Amino acid sequence: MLVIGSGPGGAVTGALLAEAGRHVTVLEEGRRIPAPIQPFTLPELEAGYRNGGLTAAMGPTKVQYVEARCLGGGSQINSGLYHRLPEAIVDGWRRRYGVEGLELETFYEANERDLSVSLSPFPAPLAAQRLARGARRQGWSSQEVPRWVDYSGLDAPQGRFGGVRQTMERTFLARLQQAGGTVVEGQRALRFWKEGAVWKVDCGRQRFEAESLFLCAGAIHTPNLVARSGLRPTHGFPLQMHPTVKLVVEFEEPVNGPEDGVAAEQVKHFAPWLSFGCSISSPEHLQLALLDHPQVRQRAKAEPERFAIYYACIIPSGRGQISRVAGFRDPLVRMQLTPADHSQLQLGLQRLSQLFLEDGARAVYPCLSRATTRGSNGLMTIHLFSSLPMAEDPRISPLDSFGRWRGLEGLYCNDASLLCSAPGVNPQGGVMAVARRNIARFLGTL
Amino acid sequence: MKFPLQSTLVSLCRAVHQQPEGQPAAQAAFVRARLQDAPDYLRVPLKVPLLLIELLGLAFGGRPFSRLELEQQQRCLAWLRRLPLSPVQDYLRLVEAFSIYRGCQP
Repeated sequence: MLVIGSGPGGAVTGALLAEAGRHVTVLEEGRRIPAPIQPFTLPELEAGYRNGGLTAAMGPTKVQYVEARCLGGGSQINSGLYHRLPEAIVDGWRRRYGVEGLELETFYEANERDLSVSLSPFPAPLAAQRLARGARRQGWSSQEVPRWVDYSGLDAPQGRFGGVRQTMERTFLARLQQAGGTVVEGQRALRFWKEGAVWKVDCGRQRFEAESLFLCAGAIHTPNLVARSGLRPTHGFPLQMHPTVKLVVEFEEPVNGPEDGVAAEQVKHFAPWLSFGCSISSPEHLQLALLDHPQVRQRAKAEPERFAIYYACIIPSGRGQISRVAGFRDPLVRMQLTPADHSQLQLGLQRLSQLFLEDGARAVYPCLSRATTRGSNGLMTIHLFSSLPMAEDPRISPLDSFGRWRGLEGLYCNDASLLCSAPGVNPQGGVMAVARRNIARFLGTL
Repeated sequence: MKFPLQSTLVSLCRAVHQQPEGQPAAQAAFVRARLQDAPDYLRVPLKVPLLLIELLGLAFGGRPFSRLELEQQQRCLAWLRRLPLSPVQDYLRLVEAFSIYRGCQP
């Protein structure tokens, strides 16, 4: 068994196959992030981000996106926030895509056990408390989001990131290796093909062979690999994301300490179409977020503890597209947001500003410039999916309900590409549950 | 390998800030590393604006951008910022963002 990619989809796939007695090799393009690198810092960006973080979906409005390129994929560089897929969204997948077997409860529960998904036993950081308080004042519901963090054995938060984050490296990839599986770092799959009953993968200097091939390189690089391998046309893979706009809030009092934990509060009152949450608010992130407010940057440099960054993210009606660029390895990603999406983002900023200003914040600074209904600057996302959706209708997708490639024995996809549409929440919990379900199906235990 | 237009990039990193930020050489090295890490089809296109900015200096002060006084360089960039061309704005914003981010590091 060969698994391409070691993020949440690939790590779950590899571990469960290895534990079922299969001979598994996981190929990872990146390398292990050397410890002890602090999360959300320049060394982490250089060690773990694809293209050093310089990735953007092109279009009238550019959307900067972040992808991991390291052992463990996105689980290594995010905050470990965990959501199940909203049932209304999953129902839509059943109706519109005819997806079967979406009863994910047992798979969620198994993953939540394996990753110690839990709420923090410590008081929420002040930035999160301010979001919750402002939401209460508006009559909007908010909640602390569980994280895949092991808090056992801790008396107090350990620095900024209390508890031990249960990354793929620490959990499923460790299990894979305990079960006899192998992880090969620094191998970028360039293309794959089938000879007889064997799948072959070309990684440049090395080639790998397997009876079954699982594509888990993420929502952008799985379709790019498929296009490079000649299985599908080089243009026109769909893509979905959660376009996100940030807001810097200046408070009268300190809310943002260097030893604060991750602020995991989210406002889901308008979910799934519009959500608010807390963002990383380190001094360097504050400086970046205030790019369009140079007069405020000096103040934020002197007193970063009085500033915090929040976000509003939407489910867009516009769609993205992934295309192969002839002669190059990296894919071209485009995103076409609609006027309704821009209006929704601006509405999100207005409501988020209202939440804080009516709760006593000194000022708010939107990270959105030249905003019109046609375009703007300053959008970003960390959630990408839906480039090869699972579907029972072959006209919609080459993959069936369980990520199996129709007509090509032994070829599977098992990552965020499979999600049929934007879930409106962090997708990794859903990606892992679907991956676990698909492997159960593959092993005949479903 | 020597990065072409290195002096242009250093000058740009110094002049792109509205307020003095310091460390232009370290910032330029960081921006250069990011441009070289960019998706492969963007690596050359992302260097072309540097050449254009270097040549623009000739029109503004009779010398390449990297040889202009800081004040002339900033006037040159202010003129570029007023152009209704989003790729120009995006490029300056990108360089400014990266150099600000690097400027926050010890």
